[in-house]
Formats: sequence, structure tokens, C-alpha cells
Amino acid sequence: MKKVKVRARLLTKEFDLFKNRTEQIKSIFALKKDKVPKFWALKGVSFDIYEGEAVGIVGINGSGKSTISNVISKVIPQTSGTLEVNGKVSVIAIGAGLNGRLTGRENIRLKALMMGLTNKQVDQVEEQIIEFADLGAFIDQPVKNYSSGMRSRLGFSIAIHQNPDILIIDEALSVGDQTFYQKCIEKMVEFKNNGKTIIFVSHALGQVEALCDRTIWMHYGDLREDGPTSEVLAHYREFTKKFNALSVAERRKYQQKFKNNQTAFNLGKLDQRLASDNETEDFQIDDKQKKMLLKRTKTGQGLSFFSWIIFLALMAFCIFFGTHSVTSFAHDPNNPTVVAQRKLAVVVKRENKAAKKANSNSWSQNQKINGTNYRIKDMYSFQKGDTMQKIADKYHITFKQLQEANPQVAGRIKLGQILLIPDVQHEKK
Amino acid sequence: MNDMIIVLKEQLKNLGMIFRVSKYEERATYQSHYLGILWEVLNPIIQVGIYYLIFGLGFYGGRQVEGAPFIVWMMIGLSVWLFMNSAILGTSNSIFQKMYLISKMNFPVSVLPSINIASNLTAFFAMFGVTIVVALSQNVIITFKWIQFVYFFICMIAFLFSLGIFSATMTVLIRDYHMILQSIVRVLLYLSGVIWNIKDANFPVLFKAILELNPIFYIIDGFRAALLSGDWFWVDYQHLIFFWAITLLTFFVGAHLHVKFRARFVDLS
Repeated sequence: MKKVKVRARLLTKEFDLFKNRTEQIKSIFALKKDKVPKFWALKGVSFDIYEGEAVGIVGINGSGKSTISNVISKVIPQTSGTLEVNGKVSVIAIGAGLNGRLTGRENIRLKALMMGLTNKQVDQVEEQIIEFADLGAFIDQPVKNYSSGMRSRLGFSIAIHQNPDILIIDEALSVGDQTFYQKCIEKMVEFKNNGKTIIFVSHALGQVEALCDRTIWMHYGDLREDGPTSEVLAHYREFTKKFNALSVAERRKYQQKFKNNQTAFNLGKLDQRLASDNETEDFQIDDKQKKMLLKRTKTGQGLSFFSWIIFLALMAFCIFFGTHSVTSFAHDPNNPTVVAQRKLAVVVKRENKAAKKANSNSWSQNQKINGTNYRIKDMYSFQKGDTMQKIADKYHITFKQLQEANPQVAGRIKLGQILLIPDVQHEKK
Repeated sequence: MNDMIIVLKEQLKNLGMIFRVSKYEERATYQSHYLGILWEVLNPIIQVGIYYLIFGLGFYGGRQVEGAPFIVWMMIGLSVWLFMNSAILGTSNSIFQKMYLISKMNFPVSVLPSINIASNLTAFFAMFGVTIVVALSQNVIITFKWIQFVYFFICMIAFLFSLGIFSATMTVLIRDYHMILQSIVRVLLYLSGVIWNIKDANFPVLFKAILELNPIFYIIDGFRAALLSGDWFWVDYQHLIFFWAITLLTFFVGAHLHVKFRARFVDLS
């Protein structure tokens, strides 16, 4: 029996149609529920895709083809239902995942490195990719200068050389020319023969016919048909022919009807539909499973009880310790500011001692400095809010005289430092 | 709790990839410049010059700060700050910016902040090397205390990563977060004691006490203490405990939000 590569059961995808960012933010943090208009891009889709299979996905615009490819590649999570993917998935979409400012070669290297390859492995794979993409001298040009065909060639080459188990091609080949297209088809057939799986989303029915042996027809979020390519495509062609024959007004009416269905859809309606059709039998879903599949998938886990305790404990600890160190800041002996102040106090003490000593020795008598007679008049302890200029003014001397009399003051004055006030009036008399 | 383990495991599993991608990105960034990688040193040096002119000569008038020449004191702070500044803003934008790349591939999103931190490391080491050369030329002596560099480096990376995973997630959820962060970081340059000493500033004691709880201040002050013969890092155990508690809390919240919402990142951005 063949191995299942992708198993989807009752997949749904609901999009919120937010009017603005505020609504979105509110819904993220679950402050507001079920008031935003919804749109169901997938309305309960089930299928199995096996290894070695190439499956085409067709459908008119807005039928949910790209949503399926995004859900399978785990780009977006499904709203409900289960999806089992066995193997590495690689997606090719037009221009996706290329940085326009980097050159083709740089893009290749960056992508390969991000896939977890070592530099040696990258060197090897780089040559293969460049050869396959066949971009000539353009490989060293920034990707922003590429044509859409070149972009898709580069994207295809990178994706296919990532050696995926499941390759999803989302309308990426429609822009390549015939030669490159042929090369891709060859590569994909080789891929298929190696037992790998290809999911091919396309509007080009000819391409689907050439590559896929099985086709899924998506129709406004429903899986309308799943079967051999020739059969499904015949029905699909018939439908599009009929659809195109309708007048513009009729066509719009038809589309509107289905769009409204997608807006009004909910999981309860899916349940009703399952009761009337035989999807549950086809995929062997029993009642218990059905109940589970009809529940919304939670994104991410909530906090467990244990985690909540840790969280609250951490929080309490931070708050407690924060307030504690703030309140004890002024007298904490290890606090850097206190330490700095303590160091400063030692310096002040030393300098004061020196000043006093100088005072007792030489300042008791008159002294001549720079041609001016000095005699100590007073000693002043430097207070908060003082400046040298203020003190000088207070004693009616100049700033320079004060400075000359206090050579021990190196750098900035510290609180509590003693300044010697020279008596200059004396000399004038 | 599980979220933290998940995120940490992803980092360890992809450690090689983190360094390879960061190295490559760094090269790619400077490829289109004539002076290339030289800008990583040139840019900070220009900033050092400006700040030295304004704060060293203007504000401090050539005086010493905490027993060291101002230029040495500032360069230690500034080299750490410039790294943290670009890492904080870079990590915050890291996931949002790479959305186009990772949206179509199976990629461990949580390593993007790490890649950003790693790609800023070269510039940090280059700048720190210049700082040490300047310090030695200014007669700063090498002491045994220099090995504390390792401890504070670990502190810095742990803090940047915790904040990074939180910011990167928040930026995807709410775009305005990045703008808010940008404004806060701009103010933090002055409130973290990078270019002027907040310890002997004329602030009320309570305000100073709050400022010193800032993890960035803790790291910058720690690097200075390590290189300029300050106290050993365990002496000020109160701030040590608070730093690790707040880092752990940030990591806890960041990892939880990240794991909870990452499946919906493409939906949300």
C-alpha cells in the first residue's frame, strides 16, 4: 500500500475581514469575538495524497486553491479539521521568498543557508541551481531587475534543489517560456518517479493534463470533484464553458450567491452538510472523530498551571525586589552610587586634611603668591548648591584669588570640601 | 515554561545556521559600499568623536569620571550601547522584515532575533577592541577583574535575546510597538549613563534608584567596573538578582507569545 503524504480531514479556513488594525489587535488578544465579518475560504475539505502522486488543483479565481497550498505548507494554520503532512514541503510561488536587493546568486546562498546547509554543501548546490535556472550573466544582478519569467525560473530552481518530499507549485510555471517549462516538466516527472509528491495549482489545464494523474476541483471553498485528471477536467471544462456563456449579470449573480454562502458559513453548517452527504463514510470518520474535527483548532497553547505559577512568582519577585532595592537604595552599602559617594568622601577627607595642615603650617603667616599677599581669613565648607563664584562673591574676592588659594582642589569640588578664604583686603590697606 | 524550552532548543539546534546566515547577511549588507566592512568601525568612531566633543570637552571639561579618563569611560559605555541599540531595534524588526522570505518555507522563526544579534557581534568586537587599545594608551591597567567581561557579555546576550524574542513577536502583532521602542531607546541613551555619569548627577535619590534598575545600565556599568577596576560583580548582588529576574520574566513572556502566535504570523502581518 502506498504511503499517505498529505491527509486532510474536514479542513476549514476562516478569514477575518477586519476593517482596521484596531479590530485586528482586539481579536488577537481575544477581547472581541464574532463581531467581525468572516469569510470561509475552505468549507470542510477532505482528501488523501499519496507518495509518487502528482495532483492538480484547479478551480476558478477565489475558489480556495492557494489557501489549500498555504495550509499544506503550514504558512497559515487551518481553522478546524486536521492536516497530516509527512515529509519536507517546498513551495514555489511567483517571486516568493526572493530578496529584490540581493543578486540571484546571493539569494540562492541565503536561502540555502537558511535551510540549514553548511557552507560546503551550499557551494555544491549553488552550481546546480545556477545551471538549472540558466540565467546567464543575470545571476549576478539584483533580483529586482529580473523579468517575471526569470524570477520564476530562479524560484523554481531553488525550490526543486531543496530536495523536498512534497513540492507545491502555485501557478509559478505560467510565466516561464516553453523551453524552461519543458525542463521543469522533465524534472518533475523525474521527481515523481523517485516516489515524491507534487501538488500542482494551475489555471493552465494543458499543463495539468500533462503532469497530473489526479485532479482536485475546488469550487468556492468546497471540494467539488476529486478523481482522474481526464474525468475531472472534462467536467471542469464543461462548467467553464457554461459559465462563460452566461450574461455578465447572471454571472455576477452566480458568484454573489456562492460568496454569500462563504460569508454565512459556520461549523454548524458543515455538520449539517455532513449529515446529508457521504463524506464521513468515504473517509471513515466516526462520530467521535467528527466532533473533534468540528472544533476550532487552538493556535498555540495556553499557559499550564505550573507555568502560571512560575510566571506569577517571577512577576512578584521582580516587583518585590525592584521596590526593595529602590527603597533601600540610599543606604545599601553595595549600591554603586553609595560606593561612589563613599569613595568621594574619603578623597574629600584627605584633601581637607591636607588643607588644614597647610593652614596650620604656612597660612598662619602672610604669604605671597604671584605677587599678592595672602592671609587666611576663613575656612568654608562647600555646601550643596554652591559654586566657586558664589563663594568668592560672598567674601568679596575674585574667583581667581579663591582658586589660587586652594591648589588642593583638583578637578571638581566635592560636597563638604573645605576651601581656604584668603584675606586680600588686608593687603590693599 | 515549555515555551521557553522550545525556543531555547530551536536556538541550540540551529546554532550553526544562525552564525552562517548572520555572517553572510553581514557581508551582503556592506557589499554595495566602497569602504565595505570598514564602516562597522568608522561609524562608531565618528559618534565617539561627536560625543567626546560635546560631553568630554564641553560637559565634563576634560575631567575624569569614576577615576578614569572620560574618553575611556565613555568608549566602554558607547561600544556596549551601540551594539545593544542596534540589536534591540534590529531584533524587534527581524521577523517582520523576513516575512517575505520565511512565509513560503519551513523555517524556525525564533532564530531570526538570534541571527540579528549575531550579525551585530562583529561590529561590537571591533569597537570593543578599539576601546581597549584606547584604554591601554590612557594607562588603564589590565587586572584580573577583566575576566568579568565574560560574565557581562553573557548578561548582555541573554538580555538582548529575551527582549528580542518578545519585541520581534510584538512587532508582528502590533506594528506600533516598533515605533514606541524606537522612541524609548532614544531616551535610554541618556538614562543609561552611556555618555554621562548618572551616578553623580543631581537627581533625587528615588529617581536615581529607579534608573539603576535599568538592565541596560546594569550591563554598561558592569563592563565599566570590569575594565576600570570596580567592584566584583557579585558585590552588588541586589542589582544582579533583579537583572536576571527581569531578563527571565521578559524571556518567559516573549517565548510564550512567540510560540502562541507564530503559526498565525503570516495571517497577522
